[in-house]
Amino acid sequence: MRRGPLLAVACLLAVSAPAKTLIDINAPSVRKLALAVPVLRRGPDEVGSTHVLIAEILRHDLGTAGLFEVLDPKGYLEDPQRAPAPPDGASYDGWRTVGAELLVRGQVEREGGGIAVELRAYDVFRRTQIFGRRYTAAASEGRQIAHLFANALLEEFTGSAGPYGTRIAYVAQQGKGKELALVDMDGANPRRVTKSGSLSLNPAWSRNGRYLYYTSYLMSTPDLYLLDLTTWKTWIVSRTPGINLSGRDSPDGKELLVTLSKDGNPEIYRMDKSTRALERLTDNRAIDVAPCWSPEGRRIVFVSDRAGNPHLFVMNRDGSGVRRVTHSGSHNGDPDWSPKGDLIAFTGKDERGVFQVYVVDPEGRDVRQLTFGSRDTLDPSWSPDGRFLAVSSTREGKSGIYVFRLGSQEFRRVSPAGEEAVQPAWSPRAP
Amino acid sequence: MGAGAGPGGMASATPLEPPPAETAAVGRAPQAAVAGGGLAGSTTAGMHRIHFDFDQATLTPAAREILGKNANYLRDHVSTRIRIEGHCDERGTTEYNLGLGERRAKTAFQYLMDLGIDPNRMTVVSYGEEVPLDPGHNEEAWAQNRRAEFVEILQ
Repeated sequence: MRRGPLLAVACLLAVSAPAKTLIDINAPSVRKLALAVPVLRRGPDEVGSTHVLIAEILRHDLGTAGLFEVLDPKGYLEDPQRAPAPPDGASYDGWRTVGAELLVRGQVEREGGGIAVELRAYDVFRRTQIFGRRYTAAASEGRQIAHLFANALLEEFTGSAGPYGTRIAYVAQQGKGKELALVDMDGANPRRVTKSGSLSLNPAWSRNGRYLYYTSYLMSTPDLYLLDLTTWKTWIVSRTPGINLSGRDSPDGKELLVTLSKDGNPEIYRMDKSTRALERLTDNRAIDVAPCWSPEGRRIVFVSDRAGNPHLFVMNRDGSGVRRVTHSGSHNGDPDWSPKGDLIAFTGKDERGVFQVYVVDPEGRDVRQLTFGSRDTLDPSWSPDGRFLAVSSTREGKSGIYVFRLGSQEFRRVSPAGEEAVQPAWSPRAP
Repeated sequence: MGAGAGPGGMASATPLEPPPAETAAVGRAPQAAVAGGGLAGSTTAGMHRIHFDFDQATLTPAAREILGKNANYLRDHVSTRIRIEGHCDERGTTEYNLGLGERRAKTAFQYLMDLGIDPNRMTVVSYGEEVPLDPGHNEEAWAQNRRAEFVEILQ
């Protein structure tokens, strides 16, 4: 997520002692909290609809977290322009009547050349403010402000910040070719980022969220490129004979995993980014592809058909200690290691041969199917907080990119309708 | 530039750090050489494509027969150079299918070489599952898409 140059955040002191976190994430079943988010108060100079936009985005983001039941704004009784303004408390009795347990409200005013937004969260039953934030930014940054507050609210309640405002890169069909595209995780701002007139595939993010590695046939062979998303400059990363693929950035950003077939068949190599020295990690006649780092950077999951058909394997970062992770299914691939470290998501086939998304623990003891149905779902990519997965699916006909929260079966399409979209890659958080 | 700007442009933030290691040691990409550069071709008239069984890179008897005829063509047209393109159906994962496509193309390459065709006349490229011949999502389409193409390289 980009930040405008003016964006600044300040914490707002609670009126009284902050309430303890309301949600015990270790409880056997988490009951959703009823959440109300009215439109924001507007300062006298504020025109436009930022006060509505911020509330809408907060309702959408927090509604997907699995923790909140967002109350229908049509049922709200209070006019935000007439509500008591902070530092006075909210009209708690009125909100209790509506059924709210948690209230988020705020205001937006003109400040300098941009806007100042205050957002506060209240525990309606305890009648206290839980926390608040004040943002100053360009007038166009309302959307990003809402995402930042949603992330902070999730962190307050669960200890883990949300991913809202991050982006998903993917591949869009363009005539006979394919181009890279970006979309916000809520489906906003879809845009193309390459215009190669060729095949551009398999995007992977740098750790700082500024670059995309991808493979393109721009020069008639599958070569690995680097695209700078802030300057649009493109660099060649690897152009060895054969396949140049993967482009997986290490957690410390110093090394890159690549798949190259220059030595006879596809193998996985670790490249030192500053010296460009390659260390070969696999060495056999099988197809070894699709490497992905563990979050602490000590292990790598990859795909190999050394056992006859494609399965997931895990090895140490130096190629030693190879251990097989999947043992059943005719084709397992596309692994992505959760940022939380406990699960590897991957594509497999169910008993009817339909592609589905699965998770497995890194030791390979427990495989769980996450998607079901008769239409293919594949190519999972984790959100940076490990709560969500982006996938490619043909459940509505043409292949599209969908997002769902681990543990739910609600799939939201984020790629534009009518566009054939595949190969999602979820961005890191903004730096 | 090699990759064109996206629509609408993007207000770029001033980079705060010096050029990172990512870009210091690698080479700048060229301008797009030709519009549509690198899109897969189809087999040049006089030769024929071959097909493969699901998840296999081995040559069927039918494929061997076709390769024999392709070799005859190449012997009759001594200056013809070809690119052997390996393709897969969509029933696999992205990176693995790029590997399988290459394996298929290399199998055809090896067979032609064994038939006496000079390897310097041939190159190999994999397109994985990215360029299907038949865009359908059924067994017929998939059988069509598991293939190797023999495309004349025009100097």
